[in-house]
Amino acid sequence: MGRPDFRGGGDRGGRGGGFRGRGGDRGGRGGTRGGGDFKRGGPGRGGGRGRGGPRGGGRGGGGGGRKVVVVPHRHPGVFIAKGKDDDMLLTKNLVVGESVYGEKRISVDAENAEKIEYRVWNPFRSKLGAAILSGVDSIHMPPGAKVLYLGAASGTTVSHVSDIVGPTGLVYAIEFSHRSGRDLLNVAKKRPNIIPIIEDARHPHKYRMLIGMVDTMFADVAQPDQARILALNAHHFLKDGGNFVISIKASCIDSTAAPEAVFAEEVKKLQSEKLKPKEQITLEPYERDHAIVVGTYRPLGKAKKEVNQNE
Amino acid sequence: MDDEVDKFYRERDERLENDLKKSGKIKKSVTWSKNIDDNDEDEPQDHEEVLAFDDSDESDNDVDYQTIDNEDEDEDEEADESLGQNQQSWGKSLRTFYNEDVNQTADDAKLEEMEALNIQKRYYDMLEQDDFGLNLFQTPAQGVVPSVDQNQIIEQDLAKLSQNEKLQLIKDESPELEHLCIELKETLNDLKIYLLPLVNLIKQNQHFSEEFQSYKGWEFVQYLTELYLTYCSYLSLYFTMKSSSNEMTSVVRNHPLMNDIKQYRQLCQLYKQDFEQIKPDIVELCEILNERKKTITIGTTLPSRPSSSKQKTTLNQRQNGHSHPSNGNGLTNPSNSLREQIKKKMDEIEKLKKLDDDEKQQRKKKKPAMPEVEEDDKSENDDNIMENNVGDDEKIHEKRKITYQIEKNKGLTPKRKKENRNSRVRHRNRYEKALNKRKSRVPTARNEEKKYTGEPTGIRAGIKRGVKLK
Repeated sequence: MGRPDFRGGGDRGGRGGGFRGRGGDRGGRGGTRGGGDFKRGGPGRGGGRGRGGPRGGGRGGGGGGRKVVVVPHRHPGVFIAKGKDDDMLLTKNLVVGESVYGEKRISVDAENAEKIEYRVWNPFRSKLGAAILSGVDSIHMPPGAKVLYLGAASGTTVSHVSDIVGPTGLVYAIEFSHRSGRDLLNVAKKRPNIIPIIEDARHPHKYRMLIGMVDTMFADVAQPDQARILALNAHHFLKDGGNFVISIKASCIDSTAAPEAVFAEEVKKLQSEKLKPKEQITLEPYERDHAIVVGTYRPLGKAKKEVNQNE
Repeated sequence: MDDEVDKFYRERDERLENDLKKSGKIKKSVTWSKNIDDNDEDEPQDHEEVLAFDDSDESDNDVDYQTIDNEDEDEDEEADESLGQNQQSWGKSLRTFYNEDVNQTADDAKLEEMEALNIQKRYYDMLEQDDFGLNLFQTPAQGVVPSVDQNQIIEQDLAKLSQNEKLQLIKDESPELEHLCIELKETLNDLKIYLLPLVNLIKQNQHFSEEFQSYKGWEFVQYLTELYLTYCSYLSLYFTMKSSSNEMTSVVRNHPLMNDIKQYRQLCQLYKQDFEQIKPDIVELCEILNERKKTITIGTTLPSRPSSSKQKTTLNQRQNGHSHPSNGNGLTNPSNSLREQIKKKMDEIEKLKKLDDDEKQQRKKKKPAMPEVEEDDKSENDDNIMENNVGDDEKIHEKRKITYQIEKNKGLTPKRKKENRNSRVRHRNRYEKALNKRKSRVPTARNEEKKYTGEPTGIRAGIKRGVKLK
């Protein structure tokens, strides 16, 4: 591992290059992951999904020593690892050397001889990641943004959001389930920009004292009245002209109706709550009958926008 | 001037009138209309004939008609007088003659039937004894009396004439006589030597007759025998007629018998060639049958005739000098394949066919070597006609085949896809195609089956696929 060129196995032919990442660490850490990491992911939502069984070898899927180039994505705070075979979505790891849910990490040497570590964002486990890969126009979570995250679950996506917003940003993670909440708390322990709240998102007044105004809301609550929940929280915490991203699972709302009809209905509901949906996208290869709707809350007029920007 | 012209016309008219009157008088004595008038004198004489004919010149005919008229008179007397009026006249106007034969009532039909019977009877009465039989043709001969006289004169001199002169006379008189004589002799010979022995042999033996029933050749022989017999009978009749009366020579020449003889002669000549071909076979067959008869039915009667015929045939055979290549075979094992042999030999067509087949095979064998020379050699043979036929057949077979297009006979049918034949398959294919199209538009959802290793198809950051909502 000691090689400066960040090649995974360290013993593959040397190659220079500034911004090269690789699945370096994982080669060596295979043994431990077989135990600890696996268990940790267990109670998370969709337990067992993609975790696989016990792994024999140390080398992960990314492959130690595989040449990758990390390039920034259109969305700020999101990166892409361009490999020989596969491309991967990355976020810059806020806590270097830690994986949240057993994901791969790619570390790159910065110019000032500092290590920059990236975590692979698995679109199958995160709807936001799936939305980005599907080509959503904007997620409205630039570094430094304050994000209210409803339905944080085990904190997998929350950890990536916290990576994106960075140390200057804040993520309020609301999760009602205690079991998932435990994992969330563990994630939040290591990440200072995550504020976990184990409360029912239907009752924002219960946690209204903890949360200030937010720039963006993300909702993945998978409840039939999720539009109402989103609107309720938006009325409480979302600033005017703030954005929301909501994931709609069609089968959760109406399993008998056609997904498209369900999405349209939800969009209508949002429109009636002063939430203006601007974009809709389906998460097709990663999730079945899911859609992400992105919009603005109480969009400002031009004059107000200018005032806001001046402030 | 005018007076002269008028005078000329007047004179001419008068002359014509006079002539007409004269002819009218004659007519009254002759024509049927006159008779009717005579019968019914109370009727006014307004029945003018449409076509009056003047037959004052022909006295003979006049006599004939008068006789007929007399008969008619009798008939008319018997018949109803009112009916008899218009019976034989042409009538005055066209209308009474034409378009009057439509039967309106049953009475009309009856009347018409009676009329028809009357007419028929009249025609029968017109016939005389001479109209039946040969007398009809004798009359002109009788008419030519002087020629008969000449013949008689010559006949008286016959005794004085020399042999050659007599012959010459016969030839002049009836040139066909000599030919017919020769023909009769030949035909009788054929019958005696070839046909009758065989036919008798087969007909007298029930076993043979049953067996020969199925052979085509047997039928041919039977017909031929009958034909020859009839022909001979006609010829003999001719000769009897010829010999019976010298006065009848011209009669004989014009006799319908001559026509028949001519016809039979043609028929005989038609089959003569075929008969010549099977002559040796018949002789041989006779021998074989005799042999067989002896072997199979020893105790049966009628041994004399066939044996004699056999002797005859053998004798004749030697006289004629016919050669029989297969003779020895037929005699050596008659019981074994007798039937086949007989059949083979009797059935002319079969034999010829087989001959053809053999030749064909030979030709096939020798084709690579020198086929044309072979054909030339064969064409010199007697069977060259058959040969040519065979060659023609082969040429016909060499005709080029019809094309696939002609065979299919599809016309101008539009080209249809194979897919459209089966609607189920068509729908399946359509669904598959649509599915592929949809796959390229909307990626199918998949589960994370393996550990996530990245996007195999790459990530393109610049693409925005979201649907804009208004």
